[in-house]
Amino acid sequence: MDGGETWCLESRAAVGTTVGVRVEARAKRHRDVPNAGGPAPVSREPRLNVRLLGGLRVERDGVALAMPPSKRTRALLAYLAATGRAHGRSHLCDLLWDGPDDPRAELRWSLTKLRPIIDGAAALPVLQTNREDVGLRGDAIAVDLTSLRPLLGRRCDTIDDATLEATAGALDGEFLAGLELPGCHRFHQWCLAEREAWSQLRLALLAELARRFADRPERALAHARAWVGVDPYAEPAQLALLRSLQALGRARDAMTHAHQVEALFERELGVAPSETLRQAIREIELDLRRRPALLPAEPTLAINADAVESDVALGHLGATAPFVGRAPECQAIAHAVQSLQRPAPRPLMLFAGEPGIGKTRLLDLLGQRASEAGARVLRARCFEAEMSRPYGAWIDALRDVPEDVLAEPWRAELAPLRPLSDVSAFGRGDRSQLFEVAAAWLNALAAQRPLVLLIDDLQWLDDASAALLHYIVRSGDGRAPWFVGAAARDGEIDDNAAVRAVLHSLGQGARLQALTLAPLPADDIRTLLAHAAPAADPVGTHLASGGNPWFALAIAQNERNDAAPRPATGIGHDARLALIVEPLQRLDSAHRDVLACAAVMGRECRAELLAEVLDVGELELAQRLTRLVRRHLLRVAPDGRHDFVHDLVREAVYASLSPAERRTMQRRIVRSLDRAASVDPGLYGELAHHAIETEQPALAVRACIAAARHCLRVYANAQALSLAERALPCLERLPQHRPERIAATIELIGLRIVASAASPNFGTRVAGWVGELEAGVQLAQDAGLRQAAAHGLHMLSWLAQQRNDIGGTLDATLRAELMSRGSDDAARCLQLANTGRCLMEVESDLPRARALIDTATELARAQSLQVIELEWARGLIARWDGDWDAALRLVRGAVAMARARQDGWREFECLNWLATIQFERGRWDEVAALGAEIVDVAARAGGGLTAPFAEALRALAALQAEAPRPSDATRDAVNAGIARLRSVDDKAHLAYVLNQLASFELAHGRADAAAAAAEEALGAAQAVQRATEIATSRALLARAREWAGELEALAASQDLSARARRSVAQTSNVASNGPV
Amino acid sequence: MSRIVVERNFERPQTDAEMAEVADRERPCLGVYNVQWKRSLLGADRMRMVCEYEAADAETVRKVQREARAEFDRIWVADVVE
Repeated sequence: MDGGETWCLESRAAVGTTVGVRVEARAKRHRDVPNAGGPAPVSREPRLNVRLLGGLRVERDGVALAMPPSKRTRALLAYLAATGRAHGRSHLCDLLWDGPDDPRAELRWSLTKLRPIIDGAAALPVLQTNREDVGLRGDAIAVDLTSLRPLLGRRCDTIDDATLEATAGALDGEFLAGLELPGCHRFHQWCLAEREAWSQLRLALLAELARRFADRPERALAHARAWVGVDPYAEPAQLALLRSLQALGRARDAMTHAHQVEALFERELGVAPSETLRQAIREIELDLRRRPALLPAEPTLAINADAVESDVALGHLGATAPFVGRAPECQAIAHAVQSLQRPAPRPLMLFAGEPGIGKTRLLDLLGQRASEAGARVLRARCFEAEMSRPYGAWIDALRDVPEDVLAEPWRAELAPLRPLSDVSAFGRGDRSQLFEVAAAWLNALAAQRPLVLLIDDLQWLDDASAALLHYIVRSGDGRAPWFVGAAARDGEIDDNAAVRAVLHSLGQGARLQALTLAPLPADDIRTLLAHAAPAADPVGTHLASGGNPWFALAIAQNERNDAAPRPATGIGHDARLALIVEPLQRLDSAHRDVLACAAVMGRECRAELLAEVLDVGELELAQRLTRLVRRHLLRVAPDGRHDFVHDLVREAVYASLSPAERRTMQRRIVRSLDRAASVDPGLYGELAHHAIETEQPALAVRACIAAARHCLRVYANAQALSLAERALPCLERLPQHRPERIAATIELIGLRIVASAASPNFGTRVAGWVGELEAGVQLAQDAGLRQAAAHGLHMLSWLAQQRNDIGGTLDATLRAELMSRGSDDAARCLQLANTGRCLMEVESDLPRARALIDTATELARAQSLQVIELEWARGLIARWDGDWDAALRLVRGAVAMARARQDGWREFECLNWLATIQFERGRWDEVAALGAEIVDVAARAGGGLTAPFAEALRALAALQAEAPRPSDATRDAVNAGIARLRSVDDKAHLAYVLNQLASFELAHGRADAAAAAAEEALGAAQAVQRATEIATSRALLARAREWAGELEALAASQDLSARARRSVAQTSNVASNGPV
Repeated sequence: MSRIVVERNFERPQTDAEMAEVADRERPCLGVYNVQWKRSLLGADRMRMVCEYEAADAETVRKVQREARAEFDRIWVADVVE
């Protein structure tokens, strides 16, 4: 039985029920497998379990597989697993490698890293690839989200209790926690959207659980707590928690919590508690007053910060731990320091290894030895959140250089490498000039005193810094006594194409001394623990830590504090982070806030910014920082700034925050950064990062533009391009046709063009940019944004020049010139046309309307402008004058323009006028077709646009087409159309439709029906003062009621449209010649 | 003339500058279409707003809103009850 079932499964596996990739490729591989001639060349293969919630984890047979250190490679695997289908290679390149010169090679490299891990000993490859596609074999993997996905979008009240609870529990972890890749904006956007979807599902499930178990508070409490944990700012969540506590007889706990909630809402959201929350608090108060004697003495929820704080220390994890082992590396350091005494080649000394393995300690040792030998030591540390800050590492390193050492003329020439420098004069030379000056200055500085430059976390070095580092190291001839030391996470270097290229190039030229740090042997761990944690078991700790000294100390510390049991064997990255999180949970909120803020900022603590974000005085902040240093969570850098003792602590703090907490903190950081960036433009990149994360599209676009401009000024073109592209999804979220969106569109195209002008694929992208720019310029002209239009035209001119298109260059230059000169005229033209068109629509002050439109026509002609409003207005004048052909031509032109510019509302309005004109020409088929088109446009345009007039007109056209005996259905449609116009209170169109109906009824001898329609039309037309409809309805009424005197008066009236004059004349004829 | 009510909901709190910008765009349209703005009520969270106008019909107010690119959710004719 068992064998039979297995056989079925195996058979399916052999056939390959797989995800997307072409079967031929698999079949070929399958044929290539040596086959002894048995029934099937497959064995029962264990499925890979892929967990995406709470961080990527892959298991085979219950054993976690070691994931590749490269984040992009892990992201690739996660994406393939989460989407559950194969993807084109080009799509995956766009997603994760949009930037490097050879993204396909990057993808291939990642696949080679994944294949041995994922495929293991499987008979058929799990990772399925061919020339075009990449996917995972569906029957070989089980993804945690697969069973949950059907719940997305389902109503929670239809899900049974057990599924609800199980799913809410399963969704405890954040989707792909720790796999943020802000530098890959497409992947990042996808990841954020997935996170949001799963987070919303979890919130909905928890809310449903709290509601469903409201009468079983002991069960509801846990769910309410979880709900509050995910979204502490959701009032319903807090109310559910308060009510559960109260229902369990824990009124005092409930009251304590209620006060904390009030304070939280006031502090974080700036709002007072709602009436519902106040009412709940009053009920708890009443409860407390009513039953004081019955209440047991409850332990308070308030935490005694001092009591627990003493436990919260990562003890020896800071610089206090002794230095052990690493003899070869120490020897290399000694040799490098000695080499400063004489001319010698000095390669970049790189310590590489996993986090916590001791790279920074070696870098510290190098700095210490160099300093003892009399050298000047400059230090910088790179941050993942700062990869868009051009020359960030250099700016930080040079911060410690005394002012007198960086005197003029160096100061001005090296402005891009100096903090808070005015770089507005930059951007006119080229990057090599800046690099030459930097190298010359470094040599001059080293000539005064030997120099050592140390860069930590090199895997996060920004592109511009990497280029300068390459230049500096390559240009060093060994005469000036300086060298560079660096540390990097070896696996993660692969994610930074710029750094990888630099290291590769330096390695080729024998200018790199890479020292890869292996795990410490058991004896070294024993020595380390003997000094730092004598009570710890060295053998067990060595096993558990896998020879990683930092984690060995963390494990020993936790054991001492009884914070977490020692794991049995070597543990993965997530579990290592959990070791650090555990003691952090017991910090009081004031100190946790400081760490949280610093972790979310993603770089070292900037006291002034921290104080502003946390809204605490500088003294109070200084005290908190000092306490955190004492707990060995922060350390003080030589320049006096505070920083995490290790980036792993920052990572752990960040991972411990709920998404809601992160967002709130980020919003506060955004507010402070927005102010600070106006003084230091180098902060715009950071501001852009946080604005994107907190979904503030307008601010994100503005910050990306400012940051990209800054990057271009300091020749950091790759970063400028990356920033401009990161802004694009945010731009899409701005309201269409808003001036800021139009101007930003042109600006971003311009930035992308300039930033990629030197890239090899520039030529292939030009055609696309020309189209985008043309459309943007047109929109800017329509909106009267002359400066933006002129900027776009200048870019067009430049692009035409690049293509040797002399005619195009001249044309664009001329238009740009006109645009720059006549900005006032264009805005005026638009205004005049708009006012003239409005006056024509409401038939008010027609002479003025004509004069305005004439002036606008002249201005448009002089400026070569194409203005929708003007074509529309001139079409209305032609209709008024009875020139149907001109009216049709002009209004059709306006429709085409509106369509090209995706101006849904104007397209809709002009189509309505087109239908009206066609109706007046008796083209019933045209009216019917236009009516359908208008309904479609209204639906597409959104914004609540409906088309009752078009529908009524279409019904009237059918009425006319079916004359003299229209069907009942058509009559019903006309009546429904009229009823709809009444209900939306559109009196002008109602009057028009009723007059046309009255005219139809009269023409077919139904005077009473005609009189009724004309009478209502007259009332509506008078209310909205439409002269044409007033005259028309009066004429129809007169005819219907034989009001001869009225007709005479109307015939004498001068200021009437062609249609009104014709109605009066026809009626007069009928009146004098007898009824139809 | 009828009393016309415009209901608006915003995705984020409106600043004074944003409201002033819309009002500036709306002002010339009001004159041309013979619409009178009477008053507006802004929610304490600045994310909801109700505006009252006097106009010949609701469609005229709709047109003004669209001309001025002012966001709205519903527009309806109201009777004043005092």
